[in-house]
Amino acid sequence: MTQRPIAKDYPVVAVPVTVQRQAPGESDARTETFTVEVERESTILHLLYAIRHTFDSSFSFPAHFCKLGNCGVCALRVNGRTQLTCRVRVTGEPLQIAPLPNRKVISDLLTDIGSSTDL
Amino acid sequence: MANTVGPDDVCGHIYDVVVVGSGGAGLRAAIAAQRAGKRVLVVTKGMALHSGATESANFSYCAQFGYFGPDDTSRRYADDLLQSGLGMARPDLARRLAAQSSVEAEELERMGMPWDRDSDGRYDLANFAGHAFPRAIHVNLRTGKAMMRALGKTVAEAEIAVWEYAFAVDVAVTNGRVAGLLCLDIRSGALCPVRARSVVIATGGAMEMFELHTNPTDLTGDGVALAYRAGAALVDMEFLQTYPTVFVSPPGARGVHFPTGRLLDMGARLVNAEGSPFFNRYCDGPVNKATRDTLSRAMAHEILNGGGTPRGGLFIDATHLPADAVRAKFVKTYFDDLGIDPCAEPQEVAPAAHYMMGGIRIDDSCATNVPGLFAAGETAGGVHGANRLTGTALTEIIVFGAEAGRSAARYAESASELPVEAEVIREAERRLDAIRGHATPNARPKSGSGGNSFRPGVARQQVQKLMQTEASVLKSADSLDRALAGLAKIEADVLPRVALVRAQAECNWELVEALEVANIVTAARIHCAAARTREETRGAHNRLDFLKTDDNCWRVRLLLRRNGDTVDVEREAVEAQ
Repeated sequence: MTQRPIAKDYPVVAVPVTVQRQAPGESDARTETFTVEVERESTILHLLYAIRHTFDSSFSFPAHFCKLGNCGVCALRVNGRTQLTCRVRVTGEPLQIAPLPNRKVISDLLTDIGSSTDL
Repeated sequence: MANTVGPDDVCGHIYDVVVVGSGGAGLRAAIAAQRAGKRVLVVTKGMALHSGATESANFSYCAQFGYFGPDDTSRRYADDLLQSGLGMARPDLARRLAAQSSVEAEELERMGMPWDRDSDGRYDLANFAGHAFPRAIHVNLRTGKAMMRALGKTVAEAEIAVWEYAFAVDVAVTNGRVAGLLCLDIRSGALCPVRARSVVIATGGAMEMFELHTNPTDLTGDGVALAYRAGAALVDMEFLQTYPTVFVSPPGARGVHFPTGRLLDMGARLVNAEGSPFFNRYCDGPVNKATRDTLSRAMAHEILNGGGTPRGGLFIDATHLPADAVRAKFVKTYFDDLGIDPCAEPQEVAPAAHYMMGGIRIDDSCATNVPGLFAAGETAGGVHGANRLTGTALTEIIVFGAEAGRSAARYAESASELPVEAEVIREAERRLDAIRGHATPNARPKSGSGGNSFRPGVARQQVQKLMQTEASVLKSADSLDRALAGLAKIEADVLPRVALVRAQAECNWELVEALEVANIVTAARIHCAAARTREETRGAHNRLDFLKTDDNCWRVRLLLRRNGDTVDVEREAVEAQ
């Protein structure tokens, strides 16, 4: 018998998230802010799924969770930096999320990068 | 850049071969069909060239090159596959995989796959348990990604049309033969009938039926459900491989697999929630020599017997080992980002679904019993039988992807074009309208199952929770009966009342999720029907009420077919091996 391991608790945190919105075919983007409840230590990718499930089924983002951290599909601008959203943990701090720059927006955060083999 | 197309480009044309899915099997099939001179379309519900599970495969493609003397033959490789399949793998498919493994590896290299070489310039072969010789070629720890890059580049250069964000709703069958594919263009919301002489299904597995699994979340059994609805037979659907050590926490790492073999070799301890070792209560021998299925079984027993955490986890404890040595065993960056440090604290893990051995029944040309319908990759069944030999998934998708593409092209040579029947289109439209018609614009944002309706995400969670509880690693007649009853209730009471928050046509991801949930339920029902029938334990199929392998009664494969609302289960004799 060793010391009893600790199954840690991950309390739900309410995270203010401002995301860029742009409907298909629209030329102008706007922002929308949600307060999203997720478990602490979730990733931003999980948080984006939570926005879609909780608030708006049309909310578009590169929704692919490869579970290996290297496919590159989920890359977005998070607080001004390009990040793989599956690899950034939610701490409770406010977030600003925008699509990758210089890409054609399909809808919201989803851009036309699918046909690129360079991810 | 791939030649991406949209509904306006697609509708009104007739394709020789339409491939559903853009992972490794789908792209290889498309390339093979295009090289046979056929007009090809790839349909994918996700991002072109970046969907499916292939990209998540980190290590190897096992192939036979004959480096190790006269015994190093493709026949020996096939024998290893058959042995791993515990009497259930199909000899014709195993031999095809083995014989084509090196041919296809070299073809991938011509497409740009930079296989690692040893100092003599030969393929660098790693050795895996169960293989008579080293066979595992690789590209660093990014083999799947390199594979997708090589295939994607080839698809782009060949100008093969790829329609991304298109969800395959149904295979259109006219007079018993494939006539096309009905697709929802997710971006516009339009239902588009695509006319096709042949269809290749290559959509991967169905692991989203479980709460905890190692696959990308788009593996929702779409191909299994499409084929089943079209009248194709499925096989081996009771055999789902589990990976023993999958992160249960932290939340961001749930479902990420934790390769603990090397840690256990160094002396890491596998303990229960109390901190006590348990492996030898269920199995003999040292824990670090246990195969994946043995380890999974022991862990699942311990969790079932109450030794798990409230989240159903156990612990890998490496905190007593030298930190530098532990850290040297991992590509750390991803784990660092997720807050995982095996040196600092025990890691909470559990066995979880990893790979679907069963799937659509194919012959050795990847044809199904529906003329014009072909299948390849994880969505097809029969290659691996009851257990998959390590390192053969990438080989399977490439060898059979190529085969399916060639076979579909050959079929299309002589197949006359058939109309997609108006009633088939109307039926698909009714299905979509029924879901959209249930849109509840005034639903409270957080309500999951308020009143008479269920959000698709809630329906998905219900299925996953049920399957995780009743039908994951260890099963029994009682648990499977509960699973089947629960699935029947979900199919009768929940799916017809799935409702969207918004009914907008464009980019309605919740509509897509509603279609996915229906496919997940179909795949789950088929899995449970097969698992309920097979009253023995064999390979990845573990029955608590039948703990032994029973060759007298169960040297048979289970074929599964749709019969109205019920799953028909038929036994098929196994060939002499």
